[in-house]
Amino acid sequence: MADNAAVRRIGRSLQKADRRQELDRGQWATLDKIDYDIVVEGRGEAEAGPFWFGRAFDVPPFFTFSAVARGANTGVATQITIGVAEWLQDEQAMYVGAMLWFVFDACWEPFPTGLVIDEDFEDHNKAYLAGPKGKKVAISEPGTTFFKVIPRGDISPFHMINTVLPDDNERTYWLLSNAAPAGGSWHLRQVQQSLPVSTGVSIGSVIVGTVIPCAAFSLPLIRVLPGMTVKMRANAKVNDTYDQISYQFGFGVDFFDENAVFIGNSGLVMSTRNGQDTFSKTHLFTSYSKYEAIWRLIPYGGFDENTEVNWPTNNNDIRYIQLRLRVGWNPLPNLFPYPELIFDVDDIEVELVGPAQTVSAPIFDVALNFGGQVLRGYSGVHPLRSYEAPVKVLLS
Amino acid sequence: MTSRVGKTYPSIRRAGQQIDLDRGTWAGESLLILSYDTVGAGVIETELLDFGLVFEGPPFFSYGVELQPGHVLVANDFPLVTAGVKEWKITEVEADSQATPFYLGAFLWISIEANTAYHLRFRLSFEGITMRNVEYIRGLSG
Repeated sequence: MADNAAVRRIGRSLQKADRRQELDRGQWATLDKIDYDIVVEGRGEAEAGPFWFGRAFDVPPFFTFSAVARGANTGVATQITIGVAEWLQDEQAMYVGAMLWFVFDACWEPFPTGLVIDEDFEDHNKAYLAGPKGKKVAISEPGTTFFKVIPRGDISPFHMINTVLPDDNERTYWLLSNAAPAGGSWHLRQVQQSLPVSTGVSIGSVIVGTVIPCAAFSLPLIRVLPGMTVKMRANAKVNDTYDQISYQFGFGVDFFDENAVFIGNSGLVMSTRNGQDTFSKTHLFTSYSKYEAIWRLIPYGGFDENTEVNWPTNNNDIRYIQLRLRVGWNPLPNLFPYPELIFDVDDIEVELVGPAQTVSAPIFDVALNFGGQVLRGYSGVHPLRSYEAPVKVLLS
Repeated sequence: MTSRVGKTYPSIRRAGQQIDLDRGTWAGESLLILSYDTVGAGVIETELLDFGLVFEGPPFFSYGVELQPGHVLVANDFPLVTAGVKEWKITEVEADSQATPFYLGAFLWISIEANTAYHLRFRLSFEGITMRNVEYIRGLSG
């Protein structure tokens, strides 16, 4: 029993010693948190600081942050990182401040990408636009974004066009005879003959006075911004043995409103030829020719360059465009059956040049937090720097 | 103001104090911060990070990141990082048991986007209620 009593006494004294130690510790150190509320503006990266704590941590404090986008139109951040680039220590190696790095990969528009990569918008459209390194890229900043069109899977980007003829029984269908790898050829074959009617017929994006069976390749919807310039280029070649056929090779653009509802179009025929042309078939079509169309979007008012027909002027509702590449030919009525033609189209390129002025930079309210054990009454060799930090960080 | 109940029934007050004492004996708030150093870029899955503590539920996880001392940032290539819990290590619980598992550790994924092979130090924080005497409540296995 006596031994037990002794053990209890020792235990109690040890407990007292522990409490004393905790008390001492509480006198010279305590857990604390330091908060900074700052504004981060722009997109890109920056190193900022110093963030002076106004107190001293004996070990590096635990750093966390939170960021909230300000306003409805300033954008969506896709990725944010804020880290400690350097701890600032005093002469006694206490942690008294920090330099931070910021990386905000954010977009300007509520819609997260400048390019809308939407394969499901039209089932038959299996092509997509690939940005650098396959990333989606915002285009609402000055500069050029360049894209190549890459057919995906085993379905050619060309899709079937039904020409709208007065009589439902007279339709012309054009199907693909084989799939095309990237940069390959697309072979178009007429599978049902019909008698063209020389009335105004809307095909693709061009209204012509005669029937021009054509195949069009539509790109996915592209989000546009005021002042944006769109360039579309392609090489094309057609092989045939008929002198009586005229060809067209062109680009078109359809306009859509905020809800992706079609509101108009614009067509640009890049080249035509028929039997009366001075162009020789060999010259024009058996060697690749490069075509280019350029549109510049007036602030939500349509395109003003190189466009020919049927584009909506002063339309303030344009928010999306869909580019089209079309090939067509115009067989004379006495030419039956229609020939099977092979169009080789490759190197389709789309270049989007951002507007001259940025719309607005994203703004984030950011809370920075450092937490840990701070030393009470510590002043170091020199007085501590008082609590001090930048209030705004600009990214670039 | 002193509770009339406590005055009237000192035994009840003592019982309440005993409950508080017991509670403090078997559980308490804990904040665990681990450091994890990385070199390079890419996506990694960590080995098991053993807490050395027994959390009564999944702890709140957060992280911070810093450059290891002696290293500097490269312009136009500041690292973008993310980290998350891939899997918890928990105690086994019998299928027909009403008990919930304890949380003993975690496997994390860490993603570092940069072209530079940065030397980074992740500070991983786990916060929650930890058990002091698990056997007091129920046996600990796993």
